[in-house]
Amino acid sequence: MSTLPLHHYLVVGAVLFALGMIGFLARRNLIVMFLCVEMMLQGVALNLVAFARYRGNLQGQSFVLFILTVAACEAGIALALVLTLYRSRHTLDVSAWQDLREANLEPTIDEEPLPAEPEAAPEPKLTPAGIEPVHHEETSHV
Amino acid sequence: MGSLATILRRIVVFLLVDNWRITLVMVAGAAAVYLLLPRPRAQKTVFGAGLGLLAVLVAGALLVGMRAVNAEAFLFYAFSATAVIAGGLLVTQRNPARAALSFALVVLSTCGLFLLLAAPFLAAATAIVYAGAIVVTFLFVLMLAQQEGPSDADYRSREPLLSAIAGFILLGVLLYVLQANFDLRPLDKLLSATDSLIGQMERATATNEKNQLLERAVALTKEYEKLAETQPDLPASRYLRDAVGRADGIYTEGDVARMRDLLASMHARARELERSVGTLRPSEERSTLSELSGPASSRQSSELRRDRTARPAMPAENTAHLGRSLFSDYLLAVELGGTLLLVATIGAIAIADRGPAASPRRRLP
Repeated sequence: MSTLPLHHYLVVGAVLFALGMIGFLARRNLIVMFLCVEMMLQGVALNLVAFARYRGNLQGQSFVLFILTVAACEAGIALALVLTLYRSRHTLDVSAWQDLREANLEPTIDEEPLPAEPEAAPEPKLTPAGIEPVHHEETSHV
Repeated sequence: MGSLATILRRIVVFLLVDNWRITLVMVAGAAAVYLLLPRPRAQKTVFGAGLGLLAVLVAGALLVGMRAVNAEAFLFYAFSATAVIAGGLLVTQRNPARAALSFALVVLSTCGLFLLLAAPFLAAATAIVYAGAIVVTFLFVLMLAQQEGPSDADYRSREPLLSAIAGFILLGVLLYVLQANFDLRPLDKLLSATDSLIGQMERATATNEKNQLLERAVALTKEYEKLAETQPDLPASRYLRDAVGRADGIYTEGDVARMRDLLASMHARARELERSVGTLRPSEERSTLSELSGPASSRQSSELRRDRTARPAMPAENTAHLGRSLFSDYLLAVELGGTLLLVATIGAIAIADRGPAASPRRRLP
């Protein structure tokens, strides 16, 4: 009877944390950045639960409950902030806020053009289906 | 400059000879993420996906250290592969709605891992809070704020190369450290050396050959002692440390048969040591926490009740013990958490409020 050693779970937690970090650094959509932070939290939670399992008590699991609480608060506040930011610039792009950078830094300018939006399929037009019948006032009452 | 050259050579040997598998995983993973991160021109997703799959497979093969694949191992590999692949999709997906759904998949497979780790309450709570509430709220905000067609936010990345390299350097350092601490190969080598020595002892007849074998046996017991120092408070380690003195006594007597028996029993004890690699060791200080959530953190690991796989047994009633622990040891933290939720609710309402400047009349064209 063999069992999985602890480091298996630690590796998965580390991978989730690193992927979340890459996403937070590289993505420009505010909401995706936030999801990446949540994924980093998941990696940490996995580590804590694994440590609790291999120590035989529940203290790690209690910590994860507090992580859940703080993540819920964070989600509420962050979504309110994202909505406010969207209202003032009408985009979810973080680079729209790069005028907050320090004065001696160069702005980043996007050089590659975005791909052209694919032509929307023309909306179907209904052919006229004959002459409109005459409406009688009397027949419209039941 | 000579010392710099030796340092560089040692780094290269460490990366490319001793740990080439981890380095391969890191390079393939970083290249995959770099190729897959969104950018405006058409992408070659096939290369990136192939490299990413290669990295996941090699990493999985690195982890396979099991003597027999059982249900737990199978479920672990299934859940963790789903979590890692969905995490990669979340990072590289252009469509934010799909990214939110792959985040839900990450959360659900983490919940599966929580179940494997004997945390059913947390699995349920995480599924409800994350995959239920948070993802749905995100989708609402996306629907409020999403624009038609390609946008800067979704079709461009900020410094994709640098961030991929940074992330995978972090991951690589973590993996090297884990491998240094959880590597079982020195122990395996020692065990096989003991096996071969015991075999030679059974066949040995000449006196000077016997003496040679006895010397080698004493050297092996020294190795075992060094190994026992890594986990000092297990009963097996104590036995191994005592065995060094006994081996010296047997060596002066020159009794090959007794030395053989001693080596065999040390071999069996070292196997126990192998099974307990990765169980945690407590600090020496007394814990201020109660024992309501299982053995306190100051308990020595030799005092823990263990199941037949040498893992400490968990409390049977997960939710009941968690609740008792929360409302005794962590009562202040629970109160603070509740206050934090209240403050966050008020804050979110205050932030999202449009205020008088954006009354409906002014928003109309």
